[in-house]
Amino acid sequence: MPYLKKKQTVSRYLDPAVVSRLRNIDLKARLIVEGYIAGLHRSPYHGFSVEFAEYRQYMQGDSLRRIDWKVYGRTERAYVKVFEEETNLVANILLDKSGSMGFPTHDELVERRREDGRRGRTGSHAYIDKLTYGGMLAASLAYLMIRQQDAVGLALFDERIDTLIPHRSVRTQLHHVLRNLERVEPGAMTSISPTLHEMAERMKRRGLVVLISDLMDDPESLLEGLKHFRHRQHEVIVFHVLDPSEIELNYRDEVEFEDMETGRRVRLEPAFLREQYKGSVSAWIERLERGCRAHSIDYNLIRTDTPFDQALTAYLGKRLRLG
Amino acid sequence: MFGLGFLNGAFLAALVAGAIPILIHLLNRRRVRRVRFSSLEFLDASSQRRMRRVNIRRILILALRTLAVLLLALAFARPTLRGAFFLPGKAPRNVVICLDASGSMAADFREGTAFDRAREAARRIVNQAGNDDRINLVVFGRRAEEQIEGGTRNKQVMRTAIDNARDTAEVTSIGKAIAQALEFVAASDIPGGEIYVVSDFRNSIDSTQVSPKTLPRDVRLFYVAIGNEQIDNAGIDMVTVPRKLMRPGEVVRVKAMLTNHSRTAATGVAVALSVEGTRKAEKIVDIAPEATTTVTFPVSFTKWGTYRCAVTKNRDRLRVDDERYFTIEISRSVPVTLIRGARNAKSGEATAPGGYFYVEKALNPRDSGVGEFRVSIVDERDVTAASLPRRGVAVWVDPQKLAARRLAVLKRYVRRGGGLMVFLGGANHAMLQRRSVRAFLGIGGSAEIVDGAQSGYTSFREDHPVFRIFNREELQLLSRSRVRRYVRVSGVAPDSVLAYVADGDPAVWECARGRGRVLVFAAAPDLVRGDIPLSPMFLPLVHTSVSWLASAANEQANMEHLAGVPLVFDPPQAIASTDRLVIRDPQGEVLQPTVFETPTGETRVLCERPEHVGFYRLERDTTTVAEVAVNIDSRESDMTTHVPAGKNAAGTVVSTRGDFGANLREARQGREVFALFVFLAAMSLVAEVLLSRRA
Repeated sequence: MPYLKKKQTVSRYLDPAVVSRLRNIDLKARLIVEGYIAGLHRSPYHGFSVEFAEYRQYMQGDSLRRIDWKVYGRTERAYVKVFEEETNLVANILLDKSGSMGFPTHDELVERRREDGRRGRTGSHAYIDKLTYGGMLAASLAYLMIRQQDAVGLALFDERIDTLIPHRSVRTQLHHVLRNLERVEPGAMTSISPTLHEMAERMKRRGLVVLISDLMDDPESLLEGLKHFRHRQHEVIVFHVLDPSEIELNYRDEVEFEDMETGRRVRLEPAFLREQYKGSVSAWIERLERGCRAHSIDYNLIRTDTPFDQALTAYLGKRLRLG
Repeated sequence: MFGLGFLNGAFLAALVAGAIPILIHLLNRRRVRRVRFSSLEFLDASSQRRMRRVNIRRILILALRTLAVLLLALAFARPTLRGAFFLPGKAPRNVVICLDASGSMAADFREGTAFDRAREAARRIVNQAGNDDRINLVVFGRRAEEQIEGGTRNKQVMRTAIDNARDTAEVTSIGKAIAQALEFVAASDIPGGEIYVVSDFRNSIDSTQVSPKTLPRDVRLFYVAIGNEQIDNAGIDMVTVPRKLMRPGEVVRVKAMLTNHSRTAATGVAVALSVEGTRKAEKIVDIAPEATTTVTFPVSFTKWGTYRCAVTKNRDRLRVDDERYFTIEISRSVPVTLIRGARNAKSGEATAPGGYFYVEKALNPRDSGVGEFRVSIVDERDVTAASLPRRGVAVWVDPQKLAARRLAVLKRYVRRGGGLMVFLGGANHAMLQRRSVRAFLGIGGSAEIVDGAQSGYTSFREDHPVFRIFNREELQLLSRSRVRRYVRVSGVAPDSVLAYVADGDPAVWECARGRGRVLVFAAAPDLVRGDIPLSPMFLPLVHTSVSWLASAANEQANMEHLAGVPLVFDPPQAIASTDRLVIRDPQGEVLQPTVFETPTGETRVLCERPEHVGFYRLERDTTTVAEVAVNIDSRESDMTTHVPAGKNAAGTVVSTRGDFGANLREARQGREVFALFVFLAAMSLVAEVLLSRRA
């Protein structure tokens, strides 16, 4: 079926490895969102508005309540009504561009591809760094939000706020956001908590705060920063972006690790430390997740080898709850 | 000290394989990948500590792998463990067998004596020697003798030498045997060698422990303990007889000392005295464990002559110490040597006879030389050891001018048990002033000649043997004789004075010198300086005095000659010619004597090595000139073994239990420990696997 073929073609752009090969971030965002939407049984564009837009042929999965029975009576075909959304949601995307978000480095990615090629395997590693992944995720979300008539703002930060684009809902805002995302480069040390506090103070209108970060900071101060948003009546959704290697330490042989932010080096053999490392990381993640849940913050652990739909679904779920 | 040897030394080259695990390790270490990581927060200090433990474990694993490879390589080189640092090879070496032929080796076992066993062991050693090895045999007792000069490569020659070796009754000297063997090895043109001491390792006069420092590094020492089982033994350690001149009819007390060397009591031990092969007396005794007892046999002889005697006990495992040989000499007459100081007269001058004349006439009235006393006369200038009787009396009349060396001969004669009677009445004044003469004669103070006295003898010590035979009237007769000239002495011990002159000066005194005695008369036995020769008591007085001095050395003495100790024959007469002299040992074999002269010009006959117990006879034309009994050294009766062992021992003990040939081969080449090394290699691999799994 041509539709299914098109759907499969577009859906492949949910794969970070595929999308990362594209240069134009506009295209990336659009393909991700459309690829995601093609996989949905119900369009996110249509459902939050009360203004009629068009009819569409009923598809399996659509609610029977939305069938226009009058049209059915006339044509004996099932059509559903499609409404255009009108919204006034304010969303601010906070993207961490600290040094640790630059992991894996370009050399590391090259090495991963070479290793997988040597072993005749593909997909055993993530082939995209966290900042790129986070950027594309931010772009996709921005694209989706603008398309939904929501106001979008963007903040890029490392140890301080580097770029701040105030929220707007016009289409040119998307272009503005995407240009900044396209130029983003890993910065200096991570210092999330002060940034969150500063943003919380700046954001006068309550809305949705989307934090995309590897959260490489002190969990307690980080949660304090998030709690500040909640105190200001903001809804918060956290996308905790991690590379699979950071979770599983899936390196072979002896490795000399160099801290990307401090430059400290240590020579270790991951095979002997993997279980201990995984335990520590799990405890850290669990600590963050528990802290977020305690403050009604949506926490989403996103591995850079997972398709973008997981994050978009999480966003849309949140959006749905916000009405 | 244990040494490691290899039967397949060429395989040691495979030890280089031990480098393979190390090389692999080093090659792997070079590929360290560097990763710029987001945060090292979770790779904290505990990880580094864990890595350190892992690294230590990894080093252990590497060491175990290397060890396993090395052990396998060593195993295939067929390692052997043995008692000294020596790598056996096929190069010819010296093999010296030291065969113990001492008295204890005569211990009897069911299948033969310990010496028989030792010879069999020696043959086995010869059999295992290489065809190019130079072999020699050292037979040792007190002394060690190399049997084949320069050694031999011919095993048959060596077997014959072993067959011809005979055991002796000598004491053991393992030290001399080893020294002799080392001397042979040092003189050999082949470097290094093996020395085998085949012995029962019972009592040795020197330590059987040889310091490893004294042993050259290329010489290995093996102790082959033969017949060293615990044996109960009792033996006759010593027989003593009176060391004096004995006369027919005199009771001789023979004392035998027996020792029980075992830990159990020896009961009902029959001890017998045999004279010329005839059993004369027997006694039954019990001897406590490790104790000594003495058995005395009184015996008398009716005829003069030399009697061959033996004390025997019932036989045990070691027979050689169950009999003890000795001789008893019964004299027909008392030999007397008259030492003439002053001559009768100068040439052409008619004077009265000297004192020696009356003494000689008293002892040999018929001038026949046959009688109770056998008299010979020598001048002072002719006094030698040979001129003095071996057991008898010397009578020195009127000392004049005795050279110092001849006085020394006289002194030695007395100390060895001879009797000396001295008449000082006609002594030379200068002679009396010699302190050595006065001291020899028991004069502690001065000695002055008193002339013109008219004293008589008085105050006899009637209990002394010299005067005991005389009754009161006879002593009164003696006291009537006049003394006109005598030597007044001072410093004579009062209890040694037997009679005085009327002036109160000592007239007769006696002093002991060594085993002999000196009887001194202050007057002279002539008619010029007195009239005692006219006394009817003069002849009995001379007889009793000479007889007393002849038998005065009445102590029991051990005059035994021991096997292995050079034996010097002391013939009763001077040997005029050494032709046709032979020595016949107890087993009837003829030995060639060694004749030598003493510093005093006397001829002596020497048997260098009397090996056996029994009577050694010095013969000339089948006539016995002298006869000496030779006995075993009593230390050989002690059956305690002293097999050298411990870390200080320089040698390796070769067990004779089980297969001696295998034991010998094992001692020489070591025990092959292939299985041990394979096992250790396997254990190393197992440990490596376990450690790897934990890592």
